[in-house]
Amino acid sequence: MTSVQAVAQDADRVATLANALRLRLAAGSSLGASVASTVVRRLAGAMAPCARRELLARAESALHGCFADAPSEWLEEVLDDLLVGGDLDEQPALLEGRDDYPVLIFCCQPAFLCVGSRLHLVGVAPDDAPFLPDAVAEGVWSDGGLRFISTESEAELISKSDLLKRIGLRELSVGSWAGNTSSRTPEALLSQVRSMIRSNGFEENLVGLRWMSSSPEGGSYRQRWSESHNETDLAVARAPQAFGADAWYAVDCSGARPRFLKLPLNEFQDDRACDLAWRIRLALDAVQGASSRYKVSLNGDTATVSLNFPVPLRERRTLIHLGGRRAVESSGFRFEVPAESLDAARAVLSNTYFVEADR
Amino acid sequence: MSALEDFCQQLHDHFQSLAMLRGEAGAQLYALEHPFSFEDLREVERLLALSCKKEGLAQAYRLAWIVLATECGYEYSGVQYWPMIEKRIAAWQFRHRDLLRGFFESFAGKFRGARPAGVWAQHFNVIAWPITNAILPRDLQVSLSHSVYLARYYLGRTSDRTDAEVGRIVAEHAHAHGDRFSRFLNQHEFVGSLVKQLLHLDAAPNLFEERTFRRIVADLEGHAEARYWLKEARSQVKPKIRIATNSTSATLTGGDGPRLSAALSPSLVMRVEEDGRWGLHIQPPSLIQFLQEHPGLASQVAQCRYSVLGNSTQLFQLRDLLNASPRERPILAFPSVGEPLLACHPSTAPFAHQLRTESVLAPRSIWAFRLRKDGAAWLQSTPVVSPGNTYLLAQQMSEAGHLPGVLQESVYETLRLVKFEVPRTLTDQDAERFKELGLSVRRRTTVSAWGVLPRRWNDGESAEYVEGDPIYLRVERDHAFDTLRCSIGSEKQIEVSWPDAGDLTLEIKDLPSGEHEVRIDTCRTIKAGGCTSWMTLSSATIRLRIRPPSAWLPDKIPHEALAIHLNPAEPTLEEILKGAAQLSVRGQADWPVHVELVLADDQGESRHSVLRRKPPIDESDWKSRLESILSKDDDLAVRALGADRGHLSVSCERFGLHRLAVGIFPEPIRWVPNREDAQRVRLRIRCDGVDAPTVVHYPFDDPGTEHDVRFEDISRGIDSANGLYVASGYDGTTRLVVSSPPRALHGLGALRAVTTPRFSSNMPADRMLEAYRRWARAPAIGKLADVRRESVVVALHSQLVSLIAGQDWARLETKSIETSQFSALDERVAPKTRNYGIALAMRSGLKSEDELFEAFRAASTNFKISTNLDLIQLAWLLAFDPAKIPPELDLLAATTDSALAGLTRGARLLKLHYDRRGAA
Repeated sequence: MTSVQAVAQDADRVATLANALRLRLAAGSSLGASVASTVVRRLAGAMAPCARRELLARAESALHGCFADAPSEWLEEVLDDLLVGGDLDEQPALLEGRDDYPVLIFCCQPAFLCVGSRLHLVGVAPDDAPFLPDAVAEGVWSDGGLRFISTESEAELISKSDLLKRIGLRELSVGSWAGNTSSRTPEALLSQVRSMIRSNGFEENLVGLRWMSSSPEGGSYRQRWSESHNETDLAVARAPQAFGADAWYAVDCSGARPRFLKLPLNEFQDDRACDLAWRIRLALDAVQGASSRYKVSLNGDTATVSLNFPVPLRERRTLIHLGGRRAVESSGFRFEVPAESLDAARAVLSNTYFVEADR
Repeated sequence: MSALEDFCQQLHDHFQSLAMLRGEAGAQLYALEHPFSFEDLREVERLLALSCKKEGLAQAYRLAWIVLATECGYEYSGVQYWPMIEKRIAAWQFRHRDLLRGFFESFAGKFRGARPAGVWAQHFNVIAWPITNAILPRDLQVSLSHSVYLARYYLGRTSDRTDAEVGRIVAEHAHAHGDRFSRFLNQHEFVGSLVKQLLHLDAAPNLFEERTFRRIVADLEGHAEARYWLKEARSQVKPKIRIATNSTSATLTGGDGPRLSAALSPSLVMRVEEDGRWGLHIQPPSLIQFLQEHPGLASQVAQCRYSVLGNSTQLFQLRDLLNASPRERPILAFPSVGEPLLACHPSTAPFAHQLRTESVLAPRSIWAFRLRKDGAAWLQSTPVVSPGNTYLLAQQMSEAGHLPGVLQESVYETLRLVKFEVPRTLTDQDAERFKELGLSVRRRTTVSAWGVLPRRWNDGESAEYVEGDPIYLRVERDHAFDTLRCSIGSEKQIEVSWPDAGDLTLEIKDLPSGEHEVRIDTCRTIKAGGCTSWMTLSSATIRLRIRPPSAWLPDKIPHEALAIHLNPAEPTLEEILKGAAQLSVRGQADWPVHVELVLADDQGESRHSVLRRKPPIDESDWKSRLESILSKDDDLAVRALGADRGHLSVSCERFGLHRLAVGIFPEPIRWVPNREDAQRVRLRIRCDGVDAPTVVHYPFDDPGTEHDVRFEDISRGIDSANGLYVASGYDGTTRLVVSSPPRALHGLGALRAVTTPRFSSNMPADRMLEAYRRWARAPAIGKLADVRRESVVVALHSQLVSLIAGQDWARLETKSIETSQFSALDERVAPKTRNYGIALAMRSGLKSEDELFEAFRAASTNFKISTNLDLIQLAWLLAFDPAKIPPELDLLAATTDSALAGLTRGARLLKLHYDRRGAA
């Protein structure tokens, strides 16, 4: 029987939406992040392939009034989590009737991974078609950008994994899918970048440059950015380009004029320019004795890892499948991992030149 | 006088008069400013081709040669300048380049012709002349339009800037496109003037002939990207929003001039002046469209002037309005009703009447100026205000009444001015007050989707949802009402009392599949005489379509797109041929995708099909197909060598053809082989400079002997090229091995007949090593050339080993290889230290080269063959890979050490075992 009703003016809109989307929230997960991830994922199913900006604009319109502040930046992070987690993919594409070669958001094929006692679901079916039978879908938990089915025994894990395979979902393995972290020393990384700038770099007066410098202890990521700099060695900067977001550059400031090299570089595994730029900055901080720090706080079975610098995508992918990341209202970046995965998370961060505070 | 002489005379007269004109302004002229049509040029080219054949580059026709060379320079795209000339003039000789440079130098001296400068001009000191005289060659046209595009946001008010300023802005925002383009951009005044003309900001070109300018613009706009960039830049530079004042053109009567459809209404804007008070400015109308409709009036426009209300003594050129964005002028007295804001002088001009009548302010008691984000307030064409916006309301002091809002100071004493923010939601009382003031209020109710957005949303008229999706509709309003009614189809579903401001969200549940019409009304309740009735204020209707969800099909990607991933994004041809570039294609599997490698040189384009199949195509498919093509397609290797540009073509019937850039960086000297037929390769060399390189030839059958090749011959092409060709010049050397087997022989017979090289009996070891290096490093085109090169390299190596290790050892080695029995060699390695060879043979099972070397070094030291590590290293390289021996090493001196022979034999023994194991 069709019915129409007005949503009460004072109703919690996020809760209303979570209810309408039939979300089952995992313990300790953020309601806002889970609702936003689900909305973005559903929209991508209907819109993909589409431009990132287009998807975010529609997500913002869908979530109007849900959050106190304009959620555009936060939605960027939600989308990033979906890209990192493997639900969506971002790559150049050809479209019918278009001559250009835009970078678009695509849906990854529905698949699953066995992570401990959980079966993590990834991917979105085209047109957001439901790919799980209702009986299975009812057992899916949401935790930010993650969706998982929880099992209580090895036998249940195997039986549910078989069920997902029979439904048609591919099984992915965490090791191969999440990528391996690099164990290169910061000095070796910087030496390679320097040598590449020497051979392939260029000197040019780039307009609108913004520099990412080292930050004082406890400083935020935003505080690192400025239009001026006092770097005398390697640096990382961004400048506007003809199309798309600002380009990232590795810059050698040791000469009379800065020498630029556009990122990413084929010689590194990072496909995204920002990931390599962050990696270089982290390495610079490490060799300058001002490594970016992270804090760990244990709360029962969960360890919260708080950082004030972005983690490159490959490492984020590993971390996200160690326990998942929650958006927080502060300017920091925070991961929550099960206590038993803390050592693995520490190893990932250490390979990325982070240093644990007070340790 | 011959036809060619006649053409040259025309050129002389033309350039002379131009030089006189330019001389007064101190400006240079360009050979591209010649007066010839395309037909004339074709005829000149034909006559020059005949003349060249007969008498070379005749001094008498130098102007015609300059024009022809400049035309080639205009077509220049970074490579292949000389082939372009050779294609047009069959008898063109290499030595003519110097003569041509002389012609240009004399042209520059006599007619103030353009002179090249800069690093690029020093390197390419001949072609720099015609290219500089071509003003803006086609490739730079694209670069310039891109630079203008990049600078577009900084080119505002360009008409107020000097040419040099505009040129500097463009240069500062340009991306690097090479020294030639940088040098071009450094001419700020020239570039600025050209950019102004390209942006249609300056009607009359003064840099060079208008005809030449039109030609460049037409060519530039013929390039799709350049046209797009310029279009964007133009639209950015000219104002985007123009709100005309209330026009009276519909009731125009009288006037002697033609009826004009182009509007001549000015725009009025209020700005805060330096003293903090508001002042009124007029932006006169642009006459561009007007003159497009009436080009015959252009000369009259040039002679007329105009004045602005309140300042009739200051006259401005009317041609200033031949600009997309004419300069704003202040209005010194606030206009009274019926008073024209602009006046044309003389007033008898055909368009004067229309300009006057269309610039009359509409008769109103209040004028509403809408305040924009930049702080300027623009006059509204109609007296309607929208909720949520801020306005300046202006009224003559003589008018009675009170304006709502905060009083503002203006420069006009007779004006009352207030700033007023219209509330987002207006009450009835507010609306009534506006009505009294002569302003009406726009009323709007907006319905939008919320939460779970529909799959399609058609401008608020229709929406498509999937069964089971929750439907949320958000209703926003900008006017007061107390009730909202929602009905689906003919059934009234809900009536909500909604007296408060803010928006409202409706949730519709369990709507079955099918089409539904949802109607939303905003109403006001009227209670009279004990009865309650509703008055509908506004309505919105949305058609909802509910459909079942799509079915999910595992392993199918039904995206309406092809996702192509090429890593690296812009690979070089070398990376592709080495298999270092990876391609993958994902997308709908219904249409096959065809991937081709397209290479081009001055001979034309060649397409090499790599694969054709339905997606998904992954990196391994690409790799295996590419390897297969590279092993089968001999022509690919040939064309790759001479290619100067190329791309990967990815085509699909559904998605069309798309090109992915492939980087090719041609060397100043490069080989351009051409497979004439199955038996014959025609080999040519391309050279971009003026100094001819030295070319030598080493035949397959006598690989150590050098034969000179005349540059003139090889630059035109030699047939049946055979052997190694080496060209040196420009601080570099380029080598190539080519094979053209004799026609009479086929298959293995051909191979056997041609792969037995002979060597001079007294050839010393160092020359033998040099020959080995030369052949080992040379690339070969085609399988046959590769096989023959390899046989020469093996023969040279054997000969070198024979010279160092002794002929007896070499003979024994050959015999052992034939019988695969190496035991006889063990004791011959070092006859006086027999156990040395035996010890080495015992170590021969080690797997890696490094381990073998370590064993060799240890045995050689232990058995005291030599403790000189350099000598041990040399022997090892002689046995394994002589090409790695450092060039500075004196081999002849090393051979005086008697230990070298024994060491070399020992290393060879290990090498033979190593090779046999590899073969097994």
